[in-house]
Amino acid sequence: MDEHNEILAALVGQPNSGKSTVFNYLTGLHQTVANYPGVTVVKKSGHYHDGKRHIEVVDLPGTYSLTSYSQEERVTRDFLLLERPEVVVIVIDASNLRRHLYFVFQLLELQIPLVICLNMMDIAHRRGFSIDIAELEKVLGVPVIPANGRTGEGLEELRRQINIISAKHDHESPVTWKVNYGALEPLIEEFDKILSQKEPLVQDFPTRWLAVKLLENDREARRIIQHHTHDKDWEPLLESCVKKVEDYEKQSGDSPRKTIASSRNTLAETIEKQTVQRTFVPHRNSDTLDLILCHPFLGLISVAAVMFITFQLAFNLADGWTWFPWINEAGVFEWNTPLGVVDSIFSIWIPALLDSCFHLPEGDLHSLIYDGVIAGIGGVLTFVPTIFFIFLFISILEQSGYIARVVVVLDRLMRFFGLHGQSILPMILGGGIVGGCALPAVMATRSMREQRERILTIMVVPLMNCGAKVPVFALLISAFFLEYQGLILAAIILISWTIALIVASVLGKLFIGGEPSPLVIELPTYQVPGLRDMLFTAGLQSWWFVKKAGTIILAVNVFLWVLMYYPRPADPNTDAATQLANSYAAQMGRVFEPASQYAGFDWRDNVALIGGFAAKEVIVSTMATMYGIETENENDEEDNENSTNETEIENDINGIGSVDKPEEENILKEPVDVQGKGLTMELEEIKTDNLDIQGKRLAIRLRAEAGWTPLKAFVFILFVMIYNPCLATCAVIWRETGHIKYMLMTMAYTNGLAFLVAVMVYQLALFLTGHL
Amino acid sequence: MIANIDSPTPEIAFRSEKVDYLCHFSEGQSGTIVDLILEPELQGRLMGMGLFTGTRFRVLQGGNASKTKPSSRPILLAIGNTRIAIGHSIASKILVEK
Ligand SMILES: Nc1nc2c(ncn2[C@@H]2O[C@H](COP(=O)(O)OP(=O)(O)OP(=O)(O)O)[C@@H](O)[C@H]2O)c(=O)[nH]1
Ligand SMILES: [Mg+2]
Repeated sequence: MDEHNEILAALVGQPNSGKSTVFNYLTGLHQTVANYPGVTVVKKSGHYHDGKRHIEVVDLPGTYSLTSYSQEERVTRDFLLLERPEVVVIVIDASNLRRHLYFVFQLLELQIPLVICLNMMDIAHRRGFSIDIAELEKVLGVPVIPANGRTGEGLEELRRQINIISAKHDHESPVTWKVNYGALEPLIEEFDKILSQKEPLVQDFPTRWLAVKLLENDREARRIIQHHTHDKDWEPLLESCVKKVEDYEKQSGDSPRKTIASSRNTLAETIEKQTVQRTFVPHRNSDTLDLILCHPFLGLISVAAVMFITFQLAFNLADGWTWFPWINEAGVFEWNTPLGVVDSIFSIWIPALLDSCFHLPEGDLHSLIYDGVIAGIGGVLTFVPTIFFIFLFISILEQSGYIARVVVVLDRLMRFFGLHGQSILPMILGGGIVGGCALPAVMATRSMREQRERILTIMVVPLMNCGAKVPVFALLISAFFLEYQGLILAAIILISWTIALIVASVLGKLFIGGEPSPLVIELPTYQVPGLRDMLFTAGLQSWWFVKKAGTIILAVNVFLWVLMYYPRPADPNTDAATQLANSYAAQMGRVFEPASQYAGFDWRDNVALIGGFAAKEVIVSTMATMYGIETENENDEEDNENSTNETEIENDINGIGSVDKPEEENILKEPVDVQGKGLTMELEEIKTDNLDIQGKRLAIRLRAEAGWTPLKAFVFILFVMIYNPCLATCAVIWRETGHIKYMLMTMAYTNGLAFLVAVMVYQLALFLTGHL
Repeated sequence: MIANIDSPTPEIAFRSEKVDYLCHFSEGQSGTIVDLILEPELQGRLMGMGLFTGTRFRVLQGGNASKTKPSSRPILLAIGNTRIAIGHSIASKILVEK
């Protein structure tokens, strides 16, 4: 056996062939898997051990060919040429052999150590294909491993082959394999001969491959040749190549590129005929389904219906239906909602446990732990069930193959606004259906070829409702629009899309220019979503959220607690209201109040929104801390004055949603003793009344707060939807566009627009209801 | 090893009655690709998806035979086992034969 214990194996293949699925199996990691072409946009690595050997596996972005026209093709090709992996596993779709062989040939020509993972054998069988594996191996001259990435069938054999090939690699040169390019052969041979005289080139690259690439007019190949030779001799070669290509075009009436592609395709066709037999041709119901799902009108209705049902289910499973077995604080078994369970853990069980273990005296440390740490983490973690179920359903949509159909249906609409059907995926990833993250979404635009739409998409992605904004929405919906949950959520989605599309259109026309690039997308086979992948996707997203909650959010929350808790008053008898009103946080919030009051936001809301600059998750926890600390401020005269005004407005405004349950009105009218028994009583009251409540203490607290009305809640939702992307997203926008100006433009327009929209809606509503 | 296949020299029936742009094909119609009059990147991508000169296809949806009022809907093509959606602007640059 080989002495080398460090092996680099690369996974390559066309989009959606199952590379990430195979990667996950081999490494035990969980790279995102979805039934949509172009999901993996950056290479990702993992590893496994085989005896003493450490095998590093790299999952590369899917590419349709290995030219150098698009970014992911270059990433893949450069990786193969520069990193020189010991083994290259090419994952191909057995049910589409001809097309994938066309890609295989391009790798075979690179003369790299290859093993073919003939994936999706289950689909091939279902479609009536029977493949002669031995014959295929013979024709191609490389090992072919039939596999099913979903069940793991064949993947142990793939591991074995990786081992064998990597061991061989040091001693034997890989097979030299050629496609016959017919009329182009004399030219190829001529270039090959010239190129093979140059030592540095011969060592690093197969010269026949370079010769073919020169005829394809491949820029990278020309660069390679120039780079590897400082000798001016190469200029005449490149010039003569251009001339010969022109001559060929004149003579044959076709470009060498087309001839090369045709030769490969013809060969793929021949090999397919030689190795594949069709035993039966099943009826394709999926074509009938596509007629509906891709139909311009029926398709749109389907998109709306699917999104609505998906999110109703997700929200109800998280916090509508009491299906989760739980022991309540009285020690009695009950059916609760998952969100209710998390809430009871953080608001009852953990404080009770701490009380019984540590008996902390009231003071700085007590406040830090209870109000800063536990309230902060609890406030964020209560949303994990919602995030989990939303992603569970998004995963179903992605894996079923439906998302690609959504792209087709929405393409024309997107084009109208200067975007591309392909902008849909980043926008959905960024929270187009609510829940997601702008950061990977911005990165997912890499698969978009046209710079124009890519930049536009990047700039509007932050307007989507990422997972971190969901807690704010869920909080305010449960506090003020409980009766209209689904409707308000649909409105949020609709408004954010409308704003994003208008912004894209304006930015596109004013700052970017050009025309949107055309749509070409493969519609993947419909698949029944795999439970494992669904759970992993949902679990991964929730974990990501928790991790963030445990780190940045906690840190920001403690920092905000410091801002709110300090400076401590000189007189220890100072009441909490006065202390808070003099805190650093209040001072910061007040700086913005003269402007923000036009949108209805007071200094406390400003503090929460400032926290949201770092990460949107912070908004809810900051509000929890802000409003939790300020409980003694209940009888503040100013607040009571507002209370009457705002309650009237609330009753007047129709369409935004109003609170009409008598129990809830009681809460609004009666001062709440949040720290003591008052709040617990109300929570129980609401629960026994069986209202569909999000179980959020903060929601109750806000509803009891004089300054908060459904109007303000709605305006707050709008502001959070539009304003500044989180710091991490800003940084990624800068990195992905390569220009700080796009980041600054995004920050400028989001904040400006958020303020404008918030003030306009707030003032208009006040005006229309006669409160201005 | 050398796979002994000669490159095909497609006989393009330019200006023949049967040749038209893909966007003028209507639902259910089948045909053969004659030429992709596209920039190299798009051409490469379509070829990677299995669209070559001589490839047989069937229009599953979209398209419009009317030349005066062509539809701008994406066209759904069936090529072997592959299903591809192509925007109108590309479909109007693909020459096909009935
Ligand atoms: N039926 C079946 N489905 C599979 C198999 N392997 C993968 N899939 C599914 O095919 C889809 C695509 O798989 P991915 O692993 O995301 O494909 P990929 O090659 O990484 O795709 P990109 O990252 O977009 O290039 C997913 O829905 C997988 O669950 C298989 O052997 N059989
Ligand atoms: Mg992938």
